[in-house]
Amino acid sequence: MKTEHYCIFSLIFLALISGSMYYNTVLVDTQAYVPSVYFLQGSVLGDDDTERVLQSYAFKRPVEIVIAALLEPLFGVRQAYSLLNMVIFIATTLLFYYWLKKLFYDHEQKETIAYGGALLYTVSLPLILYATRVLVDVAGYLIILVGLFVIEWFFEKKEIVWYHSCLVGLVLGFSLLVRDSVVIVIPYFGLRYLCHYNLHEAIKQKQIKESWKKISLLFFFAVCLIIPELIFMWYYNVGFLLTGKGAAITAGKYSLLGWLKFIIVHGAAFHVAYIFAYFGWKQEQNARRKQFYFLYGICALIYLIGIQLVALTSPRFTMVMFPVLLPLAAMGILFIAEKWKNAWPVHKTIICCLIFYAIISFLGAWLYPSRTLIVEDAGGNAVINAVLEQLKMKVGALL
Amino acid sequence: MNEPREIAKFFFWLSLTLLLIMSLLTVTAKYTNEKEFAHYAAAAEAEKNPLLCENIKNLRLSSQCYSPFIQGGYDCTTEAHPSDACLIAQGVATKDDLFCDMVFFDNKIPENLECRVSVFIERYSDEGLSDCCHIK
Repeated sequence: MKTEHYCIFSLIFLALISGSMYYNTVLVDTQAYVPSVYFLQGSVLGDDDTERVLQSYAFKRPVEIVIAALLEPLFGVRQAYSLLNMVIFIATTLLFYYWLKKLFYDHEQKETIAYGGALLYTVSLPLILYATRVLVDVAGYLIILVGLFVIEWFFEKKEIVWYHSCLVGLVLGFSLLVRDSVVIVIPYFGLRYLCHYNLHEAIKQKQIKESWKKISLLFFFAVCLIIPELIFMWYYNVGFLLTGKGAAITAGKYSLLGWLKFIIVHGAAFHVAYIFAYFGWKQEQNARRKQFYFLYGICALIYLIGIQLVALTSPRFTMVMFPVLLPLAAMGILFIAEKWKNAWPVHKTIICCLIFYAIISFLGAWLYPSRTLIVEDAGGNAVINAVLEQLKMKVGALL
Repeated sequence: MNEPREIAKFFFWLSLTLLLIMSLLTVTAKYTNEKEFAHYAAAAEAEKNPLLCENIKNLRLSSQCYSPFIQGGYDCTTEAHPSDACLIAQGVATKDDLFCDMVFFDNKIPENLECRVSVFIERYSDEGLSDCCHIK
């Protein structure tokens, strides 16, 4: 078999293993996703269930619900979501592998970094915990990658014209109906655009007249971006993504304990990968990739802080950092392996680091505190207590 | 520069082995569960004793065993220590999500959610218990 075949098949197998741990399990949000399927199939719902659907945040991102509604007669509603999520999980893993090959096309170790990064993605704690539940989270990572591919395609064009802008706008606008994590990619595109044409310099030097053509392309992008969302909101008479979220911005989230929760949850999601990524960042010399890490990283961080204020902080949101953190972590692992190459073969060190990351992720998933309800305003102490309680219960059961 | 091949080959064989072991364990567990269900469900029906359903370890199958008794008028809330399987079956039969909130609270969050989701499925497809109760 060719090396690429080994890479692809092992990634598929690992995705199946990770996805099977919490396959077909439910969370609080599932209560909105299940009736939404029947609503879209045309069933007459009771008043309470109709309200549950139309008022829910889930229904504001209906694309996966529509696909689940089409699959439901074949597999049942829970399997429709879970199977679809498993397929999306595998597709996202492979797409990330090819995205990393593209990102590192000029790096001599691109194959190792691409495979390492994709493998880290497959065994990430948030994906083990949430990817194949009766939810739609994993679709959010797919649209981030699709968005990044479309943006790269846009900037690879020799001459950018209005319909290129429209296409990027439509793809990202349609992605808003899949999952809101694509809001990271929208400002990232804007910032890339500014940097690509040095528009910030032109604005500084008041050369707006000379740059109006380039700026007008951003206008086409913005118009096409909002069209899918507007059509959906008008047709179903539901509010914008953030409608009804005002009440969620409560005092507890600004407290020190609230921010401690922010650090614990986001820290636990990628655990040792942060250390590997630190070494990777120190090693990274390529200006193009550094620009990507910086621009995307800033947009993702702003999204995470926003989510902390309007919704429950959860490792499934941390996962949006993967396009920056995981390639850097793979680079860091490669750096460590090359540093130790006199003592141990490079590939063995890399294997050990990847296995170490996977074991911590699976242990974290095993210790997931499913029996404790952590309210939105809870502080970091509530998370620590819930995990300790779970640890006592699980270890107690083992002994 | 043979590293990517060595690494990918290692993870290919490791993941394939793990996947085969997991599949084998899943099939074995499914076979054992089905056998256990067939045995105790038949015994419960013959003896008209729903409490025999409690011997079924799998929560979904145990609920399915209770289901005909619930439809026949059996009320598990009258028991001193009603079982989770029986309560889920009762919630689904009555199609009442508030019943799930009344009987599953505190640290019974996964059971509460399974019960509520199964109620919603039962309301619109009559398949509430067919794929329920995957509690980890």
